Amino acid sequence: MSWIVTICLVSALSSGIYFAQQAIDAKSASLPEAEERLYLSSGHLLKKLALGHSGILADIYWMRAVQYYGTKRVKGSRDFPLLGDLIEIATILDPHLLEAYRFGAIFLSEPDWGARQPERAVKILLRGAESNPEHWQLLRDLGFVYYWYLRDYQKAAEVFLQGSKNATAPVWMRTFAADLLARGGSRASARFLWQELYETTQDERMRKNALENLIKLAAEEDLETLQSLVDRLAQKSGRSVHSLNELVSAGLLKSYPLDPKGFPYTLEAAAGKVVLSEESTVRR
Amino acid sequence: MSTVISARGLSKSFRSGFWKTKSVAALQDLHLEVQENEIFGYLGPNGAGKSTTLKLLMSLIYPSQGQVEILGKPASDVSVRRHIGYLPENPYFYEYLTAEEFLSYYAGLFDFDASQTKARVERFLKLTGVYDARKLQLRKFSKGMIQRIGIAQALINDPKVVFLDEPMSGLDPIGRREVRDLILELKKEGRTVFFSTHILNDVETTCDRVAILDRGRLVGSGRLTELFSKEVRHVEVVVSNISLAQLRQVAGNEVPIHPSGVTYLLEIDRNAALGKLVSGIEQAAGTLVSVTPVRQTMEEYFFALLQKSSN
Amino acid sequence: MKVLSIARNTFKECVRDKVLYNLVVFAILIIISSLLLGGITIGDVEQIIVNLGLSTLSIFGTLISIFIGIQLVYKEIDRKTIYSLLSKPVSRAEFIIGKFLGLSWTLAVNVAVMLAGIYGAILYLRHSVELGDFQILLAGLVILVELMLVIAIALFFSTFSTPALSALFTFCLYVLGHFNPDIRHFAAYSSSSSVRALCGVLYYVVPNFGNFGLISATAHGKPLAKQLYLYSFSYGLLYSAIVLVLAIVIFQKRNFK
Repeated sequence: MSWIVTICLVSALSSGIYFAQQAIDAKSASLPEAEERLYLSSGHLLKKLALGHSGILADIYWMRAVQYYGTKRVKGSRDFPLLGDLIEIATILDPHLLEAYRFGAIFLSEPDWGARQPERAVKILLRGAESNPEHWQLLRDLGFVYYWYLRDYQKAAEVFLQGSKNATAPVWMRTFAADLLARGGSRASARFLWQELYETTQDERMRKNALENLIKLAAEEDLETLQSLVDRLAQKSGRSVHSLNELVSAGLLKSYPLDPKGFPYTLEAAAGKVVLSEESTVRR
Repeated sequence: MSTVISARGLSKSFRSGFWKTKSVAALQDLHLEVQENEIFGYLGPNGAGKSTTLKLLMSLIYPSQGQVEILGKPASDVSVRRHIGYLPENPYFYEYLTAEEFLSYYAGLFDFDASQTKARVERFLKLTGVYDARKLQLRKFSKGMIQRIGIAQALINDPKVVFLDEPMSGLDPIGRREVRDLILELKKEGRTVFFSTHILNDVETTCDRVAILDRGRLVGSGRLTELFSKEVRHVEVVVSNISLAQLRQVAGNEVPIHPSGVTYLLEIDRNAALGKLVSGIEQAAGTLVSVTPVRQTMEEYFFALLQKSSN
Repeated sequence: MKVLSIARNTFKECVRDKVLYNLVVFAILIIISSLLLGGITIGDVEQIIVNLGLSTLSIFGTLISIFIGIQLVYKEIDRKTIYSLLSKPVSRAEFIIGKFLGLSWTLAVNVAVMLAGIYGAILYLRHSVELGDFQILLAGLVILVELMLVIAIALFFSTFSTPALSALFTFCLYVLGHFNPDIRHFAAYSSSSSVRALCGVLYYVVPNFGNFGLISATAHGKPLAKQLYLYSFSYGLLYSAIVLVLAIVIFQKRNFK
């Protein structure tokens, strides 16, 4: 075969391969959400099969988890059925993959843009804490899940207390635990936790998520305040309030109230309840 | 007479050593021509480069320098192979095939149709005497039988030129005789035969021309008769029915005479006047048993050449 | 055609090779034992049969492709049968392609037998034919083209390397090819643009065996787009072709000492 023929063949075939790959990628991406399943979902089995290379395999599954979450988010999906398996596999293959635990804690538990499986997050974190007793961060994250997603303040306090025993743990964990035990959950403590997460994480997604939750908390506080103002006005004027403008005209507010994302709060006249507007992107 | 095989300035070096830096010259500057309908012997000690030359001819390896042509076309041209046959040294064929399947497979690589293939397979199975074993897998064949089937596959396409690499190796005297007869038969059929060997006797009895290779170089070539006719050493005359004294009278005193039973053997110088001697013997009523010009044997010529080349 | 002659002979060679039978018997044993020991959950037998059948076909087919593929050329050179073969009017390119087709044909027969087994088992259980069954055939074809790619790669390495190294290289490329999609993930993960560029190139250069991963979707009877099967099949053929071209180029330059 002459050089010319060879080069022509190789070029033609290479372009063919390139286009075929593109076509495959395009087609798989546009597929309707078929039932997703990991072919091998047992982390322990994979560990055996990995023949000592579980470290690299763990990294691969961790990257897949992140990629999985990212691509589904971009597509606008709110379901992440495989996320739990992927994170679990990654952490079984490498129990010291700390970043996976935190990511899992948040995105497995999140109800809106997560897998809605906080119990699974707990399971994974417990295993992680066992394998990494010196890492108080895992207990902090576990406490977080108990507190915010499961609303189990008792358990949360126990875990925070446990974590605070570590010499390198931040001071707030102990006081936070004590506060929880004494007064249960409060918006202030919730805000504290999300703030702490926002400040200590480097992952963009998690920061964004923390911010969204802080915004949600701020909005909740606004709603409470506005509701009490509306109730006060209603009581004072003896009739039901029909619009939040009345608060402005009554001098209770300087201007029409907007939520942290700039959308106006609305008043449901029938129930007399202050709510977020329909278009608002603040999390409910 | 056309040239069917030609090599010009043919050289081949192999790289050896761990880093493939050392260059070993297996063949250097070979010039060779084989004419149509010749039996050409390719001689040389082991390691001389005979197999290398054959592989270059078969395009199994490529020349480092020079050209090699068969039937007027470069040896690398695939179409040339329609007209050649090749029997490799110590041949080994597909052991899982039967003899019949094997020949059919090879025959199928030429452009014969099905019936032609069948006819040829049968013909050559019979010709080489393996027809009865045709349904036997080649793994069960003896060495002699493998050699035969090897010849069959080399001839299956009625080639114009036949290449044989050490065709007699490992054969018993009967086998060697058969191969020799086959080579002579091929010549009668108008084909050209090129065969390499290190057994001199085979060459003496069959070849028209030879080439001798030593350590990668051509050290001698030419017609067999030409090579040795120059080298006639003496004439041996065997006589009987004559007394030693009479013999001495006829031949002279310088001539060596060897008695052997009832005969005497005289070594006569090649330039001597033979006629005078013969008539002298007849006059003495002796019997002339034989007159044999003793040429240098192939072996002697061969070793002399090698000696010369190593100097 | 000469290529077909060589292919037919290669097929004979494979079929008469003990290695093939050992692997096939082993595969059957594995299937039977896993069915018996697996503890089948009720209601999902069909899915398991398809899954198991196709996976076994893929795994053992790959083993056959590698272990016989690396020997196809090597045996001929080692035993010097290639000397007499190449003295016939057949080019080295025809030789390589013929060997490739011969082993591919052997594996095609394997695929056919396995598919027949799967269909047989399903029909026995279900006594009816469903639309989704056609997909099993398509999946089988995609597996076949995947195996052909492995053969091509094994052939390629064996044109210049010893059998042991060829097997090793082929296996490594096979594993790497399965993690090919992850190369892309790594690209997204990395911050260096040169690493991203490199990964982008690698994604297309390294054979992407992920493209052939249709087994579990097929087992579930999920309607994958027909085009996906077509594209995967084309990808496999194109990639095999380019590997064969490279193998031929190397083989043509080779000196047989």
